[in-house]
Amino acid sequence: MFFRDAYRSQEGPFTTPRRARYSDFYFQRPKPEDPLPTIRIYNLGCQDLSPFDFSRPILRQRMPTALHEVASSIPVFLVNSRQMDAIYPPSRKAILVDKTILEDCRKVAAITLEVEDRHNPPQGLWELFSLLLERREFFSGSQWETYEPFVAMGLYLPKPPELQRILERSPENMGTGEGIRSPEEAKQVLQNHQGPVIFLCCERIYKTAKSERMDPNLVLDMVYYHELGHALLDVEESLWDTSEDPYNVPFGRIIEESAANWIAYYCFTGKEAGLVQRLIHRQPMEYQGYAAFEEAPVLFLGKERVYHHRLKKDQRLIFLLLGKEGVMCSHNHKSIFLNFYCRRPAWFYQSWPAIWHTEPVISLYDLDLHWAGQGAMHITVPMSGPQPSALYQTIQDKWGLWSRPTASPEERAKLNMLWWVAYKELGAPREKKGDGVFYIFPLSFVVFAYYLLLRGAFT
Amino acid sequence: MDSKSYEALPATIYNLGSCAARYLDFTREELWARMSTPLRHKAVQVPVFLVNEAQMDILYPPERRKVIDPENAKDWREKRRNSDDPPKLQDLDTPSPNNEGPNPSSPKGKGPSPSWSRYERFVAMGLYVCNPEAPSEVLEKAECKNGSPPTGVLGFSEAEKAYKHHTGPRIYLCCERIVSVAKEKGIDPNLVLDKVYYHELGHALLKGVRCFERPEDDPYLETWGRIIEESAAEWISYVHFRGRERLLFRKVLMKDKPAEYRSCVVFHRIPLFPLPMAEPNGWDENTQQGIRSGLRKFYERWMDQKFPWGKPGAWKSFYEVWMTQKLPWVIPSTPMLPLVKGTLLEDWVRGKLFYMRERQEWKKCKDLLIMDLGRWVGFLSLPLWDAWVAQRAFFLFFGHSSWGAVKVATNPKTLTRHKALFTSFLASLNLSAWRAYKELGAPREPEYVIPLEEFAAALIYFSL
Repeated sequence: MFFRDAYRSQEGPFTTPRRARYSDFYFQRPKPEDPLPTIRIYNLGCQDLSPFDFSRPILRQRMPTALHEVASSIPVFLVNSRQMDAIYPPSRKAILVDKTILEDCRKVAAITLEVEDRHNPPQGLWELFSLLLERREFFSGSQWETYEPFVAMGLYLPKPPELQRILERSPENMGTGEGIRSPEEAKQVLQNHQGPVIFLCCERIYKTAKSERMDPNLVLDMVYYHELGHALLDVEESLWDTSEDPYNVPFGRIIEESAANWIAYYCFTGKEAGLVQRLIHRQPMEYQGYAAFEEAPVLFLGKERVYHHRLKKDQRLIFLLLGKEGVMCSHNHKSIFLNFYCRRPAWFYQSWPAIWHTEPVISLYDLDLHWAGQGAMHITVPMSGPQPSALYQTIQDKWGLWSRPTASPEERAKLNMLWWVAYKELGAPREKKGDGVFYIFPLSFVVFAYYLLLRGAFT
Repeated sequence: MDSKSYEALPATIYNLGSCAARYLDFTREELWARMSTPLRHKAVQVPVFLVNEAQMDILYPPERRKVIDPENAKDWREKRRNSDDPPKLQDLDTPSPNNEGPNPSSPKGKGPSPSWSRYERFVAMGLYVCNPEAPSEVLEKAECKNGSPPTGVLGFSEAEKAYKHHTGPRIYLCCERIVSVAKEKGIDPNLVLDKVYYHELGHALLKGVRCFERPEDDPYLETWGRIIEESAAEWISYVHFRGRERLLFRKVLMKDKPAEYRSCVVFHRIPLFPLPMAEPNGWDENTQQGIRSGLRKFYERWMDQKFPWGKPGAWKSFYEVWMTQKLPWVIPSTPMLPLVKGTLLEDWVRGKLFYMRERQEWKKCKDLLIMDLGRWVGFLSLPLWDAWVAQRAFFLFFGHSSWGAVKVATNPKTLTRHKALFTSFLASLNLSAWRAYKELGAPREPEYVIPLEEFAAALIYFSL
């Protein structure tokens, strides 16, 4: 989350960056009486804006609460395709090669894993998955043209780009519309603006909508929500386009794009949701994990645990040693989860569809383990309150076919988003560093990405 | 752009020559809003062709023209109930001698079932094909080529192109039959359309990663395979409706369906056993018979339970026996253990019980086995899935014993919720198991086939 914390900003300039919280990802269907965010839209180079209507209330009404703050704080600039090409980072003009990577994934899926020593981390698995999803060769520039109309419709940037590159490609006469501010204002804002920005390429959006016979406004909304999703998933000390950026390796891109697509898809219901799914279906491989993103949780590999059997039941604690950083304790019964799943996430995902119905699978207690172990109490998952009933309530509402969740899909999705953002806040470590905590993170996400990829490709 | 050009639908739908398509509306919100995310995801992927009756007759594969007459199934059920030597499942496909037609076809034969003609218009309303062939005589039978298709549906010229060149799975819907059935029943044809469409999408969901390369591998051609596949797809369709629509589905539309479609009402109530049940090719003839009769008895007892989670009496006595006997390492014989005898689960169950005994975690164990539905389900579902999934499921329940987040349920409201959770849990296990079996390539060893056969038999037996 890039935006400033209201509480901390009152205290003056803060030194520690703001950390993501569970409450930042508050995904609930908006109610009619909810206040709407105000969005600022500037035209920088679109000639024809007549197909679009930015003043539609539905554009803002669809947004879940989590998007309100990003939507009202990030300016939107409308650009033409030449401008978009100029500001689109060359490193991102590549897509995941589907055939190759899918074949490799299938091979990995076919490997049966033996029960390994419970005190040893699954070394072989680590090698396999790293091999699979850390390789940059999986990105191909060759098919970019095919997917460009479905991918390069919008762009999120954590910092405004060079103004000159945009201005020199702006046409003579530019379109106007209700709720759209003038190019002069746009230039002024872009010069002074320091924070993140969103660019929407109206020409491409219109072209795609026309070729798909869809309402351009629907495509526009979907692209806008998708970019807002990227904004929501970005961190204050952004890794964007640095060497640490997980987006430049397959697993990072799969998770990031699936999450952003899930956010976009979540804003719609019914037939519109179907049309959005149709648009997503035209996008490359890494975007297809949107449906699976809400299905399963990111799981973490545990490190060590000490069982204090002499303690009384209520005091019985499990000590989770997370390297040098600290000691985390939790109730015994919560950690059985870790003992079984943390070491074998690949198995877990294989069996996930069969067992996710069991309510305790992802308990809110478990989610605190790793983060609290680092002394990072900034992630505060609500731990009090009548949990079982609250969870069970969602059963009756969410009665989907494969999803018989006890925690709602939103719940799972937002927890996944929370983990992903928190991982980026740590600087997205990808190296296995001895006994340290960092061991657990990349592999967990790599395996999760693998799950998203396979589910997206084969269901 | 005028509003006419925004008419895209989530799915690609072609009119291949059906006149009745004009009575159907694909732009309705509820058609798409009812679907769950995975079902709509399938709808986006799989193109739909609207065809007329003549075209459907050409397209419908002759080997799939098999139905089980419910009357025949009732006779079969009576025989199965009353005799020590129960009739086989294949007997369902061969009619009983008194109403036998002049040319009885063998169950695995190519020809249609004798009662196919009666059920044809209710069954051949839709068709999902994995590896489509595109015979050109279908195009010759097209009607209303020049009529304007319904909103969002692509016309004949595009349909012809797609029909010839599209590779991959596709769905055919026969609008004429949909409309005529709806008219006969006096209900909205769009409701029938939705039902048929969801059913075919259900087949698409149940398809594994790939189609069967050799058509004879397809378990659909077996009686049990057809029963399971059709009742699963019908169940998927069924659960997407609510309230009045579900009532119409069940009370009106299901009445004219053959037995394998009607059996969807118990699909979520009985478990499919884990596959394979034992190491393949390990069962001799006697064991096979024993397993068969054991499974049959299991399903009878299962459905005999007043509550799906059963009576805890058996476990209580087991507990007492175990705690009072002198040799603690001997696992006493229990009603549950014969269920897993000879299967991969046997060792595991014994080990697990012994482990729990050793750890003196009987209080939890008792909770687990007797008190709480959640854990009771967990233990009962042991035979439902393969050992390691079950082990994990077990530990999940185990991990959250009653002093944790999940309390022992006594509140009737909570019990209702538990029951709902339980039934959906079973259905999803069954669906996943069936899909996983097909992904394995549908092996035909008895360790795979016998549990499937008995499951299919139970579907028919309990749904009549």
